Amino acid sequence: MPINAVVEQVDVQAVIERVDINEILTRVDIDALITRIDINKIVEQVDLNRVLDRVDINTIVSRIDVEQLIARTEIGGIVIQSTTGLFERALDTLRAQFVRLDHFTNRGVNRVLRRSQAELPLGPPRLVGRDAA
Amino acid sequence: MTNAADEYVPDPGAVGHYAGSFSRLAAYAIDAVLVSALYSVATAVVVWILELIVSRNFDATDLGTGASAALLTLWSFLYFFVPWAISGRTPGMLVLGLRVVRRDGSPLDVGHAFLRALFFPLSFILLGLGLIGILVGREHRALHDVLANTTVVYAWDAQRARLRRLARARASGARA
Repeated sequence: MPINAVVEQVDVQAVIERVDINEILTRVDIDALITRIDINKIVEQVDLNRVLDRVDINTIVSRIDVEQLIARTEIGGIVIQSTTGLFERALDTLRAQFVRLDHFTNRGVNRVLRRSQAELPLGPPRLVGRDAA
Repeated sequence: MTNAADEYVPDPGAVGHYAGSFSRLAAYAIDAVLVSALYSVATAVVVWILELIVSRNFDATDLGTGASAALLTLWSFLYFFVPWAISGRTPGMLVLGLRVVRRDGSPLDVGHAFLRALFFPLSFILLGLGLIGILVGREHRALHDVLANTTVVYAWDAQRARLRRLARARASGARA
Protein backbone atom coordinates (compact mmCIF):
# COMPACT_ATOMS: atom_id res chain seq x y z
CA MET A 1 0.00 0.00 0.00
CA PRO A 2 1.47 3.37 -0.91
CA ILE A 3 2.55 5.40 2.10
CA ASN A 4 0.45 8.37 1.04
CA ALA A 5 -2.69 6.24 1.15
CA VAL A 6 -1.79 5.20 4.69
CA VAL A 7 -1.22 8.79 5.75
CA GLU A 8 -4.55 9.81 4.30
CA GLN A 9 -6.25 7.24 6.53
CA VAL A 10 -4.68 8.66 9.67
CA ASP A 11 -6.61 11.24 11.69
CA VAL A 12 -3.66 13.57 12.22
CA GLN A 13 -5.61 15.97 14.40
CA ALA A 14 -6.56 13.18 16.79
CA VAL A 15 -2.96 12.03 16.98
CA ILE A 16 -1.76 15.56 17.72
CA GLU A 17 -4.32 15.98 20.45
CA ARG A 18 -2.97 12.88 22.18
CA VAL A 19 0.60 14.06 22.09
CA ASP A 20 2.00 16.00 25.04
CA ILE A 21 3.90 18.69 23.14
CA ASN A 22 5.40 20.16 26.29
CA GLU A 23 6.77 16.78 27.29
CA ILE A 24 8.44 16.43 23.92
CA LEU A 25 9.86 19.94 24.07
CA THR A 26 11.51 19.29 27.43
CA ARG A 27 13.48 16.46 25.78
CA VAL A 28 14.58 18.51 22.81
CA ASP A 29 18.05 19.98 22.96
CA ILE A 30 17.19 23.38 21.54
CA ASP A 31 20.81 24.51 21.46
CA ALA A 32 21.83 21.54 19.40
CA LEU A 33 18.87 22.09 17.12
CA ILE A 34 19.77 25.72 16.57
CA THR A 35 23.39 24.92 15.77
CA ARG A 36 22.14 22.69 12.96
CA ILE A 37 20.01 25.43 11.46
CA ASP A 38 21.52 27.69 8.86
CA ILE A 39 19.92 30.97 9.91
CA ASN A 40 21.50 32.81 7.01
CA LYS A 41 19.86 30.47 4.55
CA ILE A 42 16.46 31.03 6.17
CA VAL A 43 16.91 34.79 6.26
CA GLU A 44 17.87 34.78 2.59
CA GLN A 45 14.53 33.24 1.80
CA VAL A 46 12.57 35.87 3.72
CA ASP A 47 11.08 38.63 1.61
CA LEU A 48 11.91 41.54 3.90
CA ASN A 49 9.97 44.00 1.80
CA ARG A 50 6.79 41.99 2.29
CA VAL A 51 7.46 41.74 6.02
CA LEU A 52 8.10 45.48 6.30
CA ASP A 53 4.96 46.24 4.32
CA ARG A 54 3.00 44.53 7.05
CA VAL A 55 4.73 46.43 9.86
CA ASP A 56 3.41 49.77 11.07
CA ILE A 57 6.71 51.55 11.67
CA ASN A 58 4.97 54.63 13.06
CA THR A 59 3.35 52.57 15.80
CA ILE A 60 6.70 51.05 16.75
CA VAL A 61 8.51 54.39 16.74
CA SER A 62 5.76 56.02 18.80
CA ARG A 63 6.32 53.36 21.47
CA ILE A 64 10.00 54.20 21.79
CA ASP A 65 10.83 56.49 24.68
CA VAL A 66 13.43 58.57 22.86
CA GLU A 67 14.34 60.58 25.91
CA GLN A 68 14.96 57.41 27.91
CA LEU A 69 17.02 56.05 25.04
CA ILE A 70 19.19 59.14 24.90
CA ALA A 71 19.62 59.13 28.67
CA ARG A 72 20.76 55.50 28.68
CA THR A 73 23.04 55.39 25.67
CA GLU A 74 25.92 57.20 24.08
CA ILE A 75 23.53 58.58 21.45
CA GLY A 76 23.51 61.71 23.58
CA GLY A 77 27.14 62.29 22.73
CA ILE A 78 26.44 61.81 19.05
CA VAL A 79 23.46 64.18 19.13
CA ILE A 80 25.42 66.86 20.90
CA GLN A 81 28.31 66.56 18.45
CA SER A 82 26.14 66.65 15.37
CA THR A 83 23.56 69.26 16.22
CA THR A 84 24.70 71.57 18.95
CA GLY A 85 26.51 74.69 18.07
CA LEU A 86 26.80 77.59 20.41
CA PHE A 87 24.37 79.55 18.26
CA GLU A 88 21.74 76.82 18.27
CA ARG A 89 22.07 76.41 22.00
CA ALA A 90 21.63 80.14 22.54
CA LEU A 91 18.57 80.10 20.29
CA ASP A 92 17.03 77.20 22.20
CA THR A 93 17.52 79.02 25.48
CA LEU A 94 16.21 82.33 24.15
CA ARG A 95 13.10 80.80 22.61
CA ALA A 96 12.40 78.66 25.64
CA GLN A 97 12.60 81.64 27.98
CA PHE A 98 10.18 83.63 25.85
CA VAL A 99 7.73 80.73 25.66
CA ARG A 100 7.95 80.53 29.43
CA LEU A 101 7.19 84.24 29.70
CA ASP A 102 4.27 83.83 27.29
CA HIS A 103 2.78 81.04 29.36
CA PHE A 104 3.24 83.03 32.54
CA THR A 105 1.54 86.08 31.01
CA ASN A 106 -1.29 83.99 29.57
CA ARG A 107 -1.98 82.47 32.97
CA GLY A 108 -2.08 85.93 34.54
CA VAL A 109 -4.41 87.34 31.89
CA ASN A 110 -6.71 84.33 32.11
CA ARG A 111 -6.89 84.72 35.86
CA VAL A 112 -7.80 88.41 35.56
CA LEU A 113 -10.41 87.66 32.89
CA ARG A 114 -11.66 84.70 34.94
CA ARG A 115 -11.47 82.21 32.14
CA SER A 116 -10.06 78.73 32.12
CA GLN A 117 -7.07 77.84 29.97
CA ALA A 118 -8.75 74.53 29.20
CA GLU A 119 -11.63 76.19 27.40
CA LEU A 120 -9.36 78.24 25.14
CA PRO A 121 -8.18 77.01 21.74
CA LEU A 122 -4.55 75.87 21.72
CA GLY A 123 -3.91 76.74 18.10
CA PRO A 124 -5.38 76.80 14.59
CA PRO A 125 -7.52 73.72 13.87
CA ARG A 126 -5.29 72.42 11.07
CA LEU A 127 -2.21 72.51 13.30
CA VAL A 128 -3.51 71.13 16.59
CA GLY A 129 -6.58 69.20 15.49
CA ARG A 130 -10.17 70.29 15.68
CA ASP A 131 -10.78 68.79 19.12
CA ALA A 132 -7.83 70.58 20.68
CA ALA A 133 -8.63 73.82 18.89
CA MET B 1 26.35 79.51 33.73
CA THR B 2 23.07 77.67 33.31
CA ASN B 3 23.08 73.98 34.05
CA ALA B 4 21.87 72.12 30.97
CA ALA B 5 19.65 69.90 33.06
CA ASP B 6 17.93 72.95 34.58
CA GLU B 7 17.18 74.66 31.27
CA TYR B 8 13.51 75.14 30.58
CA VAL B 9 12.31 73.56 27.39
CA PRO B 10 8.61 73.81 26.60
CA ASP B 11 6.42 70.87 25.75
CA PRO B 12 7.32 69.70 22.22
CA GLY B 13 3.59 69.54 21.59
CA ALA B 14 3.46 73.34 21.83
CA VAL B 15 4.51 73.61 18.19
CA GLY B 16 1.52 74.92 16.27
CA HIS B 17 0.03 76.62 19.33
CA TYR B 18 -0.81 80.34 19.29
CA ALA B 19 2.29 82.39 20.04
CA GLY B 20 2.19 84.62 23.10
CA SER B 21 2.78 88.32 23.49
CA PHE B 22 6.41 88.29 24.69
CA SER B 23 7.68 86.10 21.86
CA ARG B 24 5.89 88.27 19.31
CA LEU B 25 7.11 91.50 20.91
CA ALA B 26 10.71 90.26 20.89
CA ALA B 27 10.43 89.18 17.26
CA TYR B 28 9.04 92.57 16.34
CA ALA B 29 11.82 94.36 18.25
CA ILE B 30 14.43 92.46 16.24
CA ASP B 31 12.59 93.29 13.00
CA ALA B 32 12.27 96.96 13.94
CA VAL B 33 16.02 97.21 14.52
CA LEU B 34 16.78 95.30 11.33
CA VAL B 35 14.39 97.30 9.16
CA SER B 36 16.00 100.58 10.28
CA ALA B 37 19.57 99.29 10.07
CA LEU B 38 19.09 97.77 6.63
CA TYR B 39 17.38 100.94 5.42
CA SER B 40 20.32 103.03 6.61
CA VAL B 41 22.82 100.71 4.96
CA ALA B 42 20.82 100.56 1.71
CA THR B 43 20.47 104.36 1.66
CA ALA B 44 24.19 104.81 2.24
CA VAL B 45 25.01 102.38 -0.56
CA VAL B 46 22.60 104.08 -3.00
CA VAL B 47 23.97 107.54 -2.14
CA TRP B 48 27.53 106.29 -2.58
CA ILE B 49 26.72 104.82 -6.00
CA LEU B 50 24.94 108.04 -7.05
CA GLU B 51 27.95 110.09 -5.97
CA LEU B 52 30.20 107.87 -8.06
CA ILE B 53 27.96 108.23 -11.11
CA VAL B 54 27.15 111.96 -11.08
CA SER B 55 30.31 113.14 -9.29
CA ARG B 56 28.62 115.36 -6.73
CA ASN B 57 27.87 115.02 -3.04
CA PHE B 58 24.44 113.94 -1.85
CA ASP B 59 22.87 114.24 1.57
CA ALA B 60 19.96 112.31 3.00
CA THR B 61 18.10 115.60 3.46
CA ASP B 62 18.29 116.25 -0.29
CA LEU B 63 15.44 113.83 -0.73
CA GLY B 64 12.97 115.79 1.40
CA THR B 65 11.06 114.59 4.46
CA GLY B 66 8.00 113.36 2.55
CA ALA B 67 9.99 111.32 0.05
CA SER B 68 12.20 109.87 2.80
CA ALA B 69 9.14 108.83 4.81
CA ALA B 70 7.54 107.31 1.71
CA LEU B 71 10.73 105.37 0.94
CA LEU B 72 11.03 104.13 4.51
CA THR B 73 7.36 103.07 4.48
CA LEU B 74 7.82 101.21 1.21
CA TRP B 75 10.99 99.59 2.52
CA SER B 76 9.23 98.53 5.74
CA PHE B 77 6.30 97.13 3.76
CA LEU B 78 8.65 95.06 1.58
CA TYR B 79 10.68 93.94 4.60
CA PHE B 80 7.60 92.33 6.13
CA PHE B 81 5.65 91.36 3.00
CA VAL B 82 8.38 89.48 1.10
CA PRO B 83 9.49 87.12 3.94
CA TRP B 84 5.86 86.48 4.94
CA ALA B 85 4.97 85.65 1.35
CA ILE B 86 7.98 83.35 0.94
CA SER B 87 8.17 81.54 4.27
CA GLY B 88 5.61 83.03 6.65
CA ARG B 89 8.33 84.43 8.91
CA THR B 90 10.48 87.54 9.13
CA PRO B 91 14.09 87.34 10.39
CA GLY B 92 12.86 88.31 13.87
CA MET B 93 10.26 85.54 13.79
CA LEU B 94 12.91 83.10 12.62
CA VAL B 95 15.03 83.90 15.67
CA LEU B 96 12.08 83.49 18.04
CA GLY B 97 10.75 80.41 16.25
CA LEU B 98 7.43 81.89 15.15
CA ARG B 99 5.47 81.61 11.91
CA VAL B 100 2.48 83.43 10.45
CA VAL B 101 -0.23 81.14 9.14
CA ARG B 102 -3.79 81.59 7.99
CA ARG B 103 -6.41 81.48 10.71
CA ASP B 104 -7.16 77.80 10.06
CA GLY B 105 -3.46 76.93 10.24
CA SER B 106 -2.77 76.54 6.53
CA PRO B 107 0.37 78.19 5.10
CA LEU B 108 0.30 81.87 4.26
CA ASP B 109 -0.14 82.71 0.59
CA VAL B 110 0.91 85.89 -1.22
CA GLY B 111 -2.54 87.47 -0.90
CA HIS B 112 -2.75 87.01 2.86
CA ALA B 113 0.86 88.13 3.27
CA PHE B 114 0.09 91.27 1.29
CA LEU B 115 -3.01 92.07 3.36
CA ARG B 116 -1.16 91.45 6.62
CA ALA B 117 1.71 93.75 5.62
CA LEU B 118 -0.80 96.35 4.44
CA PHE B 119 -2.82 96.35 7.67
CA PHE B 120 0.21 95.91 9.95
CA PRO B 121 0.65 99.66 10.69
CA LEU B 122 -3.03 99.94 11.69
CA SER B 123 -2.35 97.96 14.85
CA PHE B 124 0.18 100.56 15.99
CA ILE B 125 -2.02 103.56 15.33
CA LEU B 126 -4.39 104.63 18.15
CA LEU B 127 -1.80 104.04 20.87
CA GLY B 128 -1.26 100.43 19.90
CA LEU B 129 -4.81 99.42 20.78
CA GLY B 130 -4.80 97.06 17.82
CA LEU B 131 -2.20 94.96 19.60
CA ILE B 132 -4.33 94.35 22.69
CA GLY B 133 -5.78 91.24 21.08
CA ILE B 134 -2.38 89.52 21.27
CA LEU B 135 -2.50 89.78 25.04
CA VAL B 136 -6.15 89.13 25.84
CA GLY B 137 -7.64 87.52 22.73
CA ARG B 138 -8.64 83.87 22.71
CA GLU B 139 -6.47 83.32 19.63
CA HIS B 140 -3.87 86.00 20.44
CA ARG B 141 -4.63 87.90 17.24
CA ALA B 142 -3.84 91.55 16.68
CA LEU B 143 -5.99 93.85 14.55
CA HIS B 144 -3.90 93.17 11.44
CA ASP B 145 -4.31 89.43 12.05
CA VAL B 146 -8.08 89.80 12.20
CA LEU B 147 -8.21 91.95 9.06
CA ALA B 148 -5.90 89.64 7.09
CA ASN B 149 -7.39 86.44 8.54
CA THR B 150 -4.04 85.26 9.90
CA THR B 151 -2.50 84.22 13.17
CA VAL B 152 0.98 83.57 14.61
CA VAL B 153 2.08 80.19 15.98
CA TYR B 154 5.16 78.63 17.57
CA ALA B 155 7.09 76.84 14.85
CA TRP B 156 10.43 75.89 16.37
CA ASP B 157 11.34 72.29 16.89
CA ALA B 158 11.04 71.99 20.66
CA GLN B 159 11.46 68.21 20.37
CA ARG B 160 14.97 68.67 18.97
CA ALA B 161 15.71 71.28 21.61
CA ARG B 162 14.59 68.85 24.28
CA LEU B 163 16.85 66.13 22.90
CA ARG B 164 19.78 68.54 22.73
CA ARG B 165 19.15 69.51 26.35
CA LEU B 166 19.15 65.85 27.38
CA ALA B 167 22.29 65.24 25.37
CA ARG B 168 24.04 68.15 27.04
CA ALA B 169 22.94 66.93 30.46
CA ARG B 170 24.24 63.46 29.59
CA ALA B 171 27.55 64.81 28.28
CA SER B 172 28.13 67.08 31.28
CA GLY B 173 27.21 64.18 33.60
CA ALA B 174 29.77 61.96 31.87
CA ARG B 175 32.48 64.62 32.24
CA ALA B 176 31.75 65.13 35.94
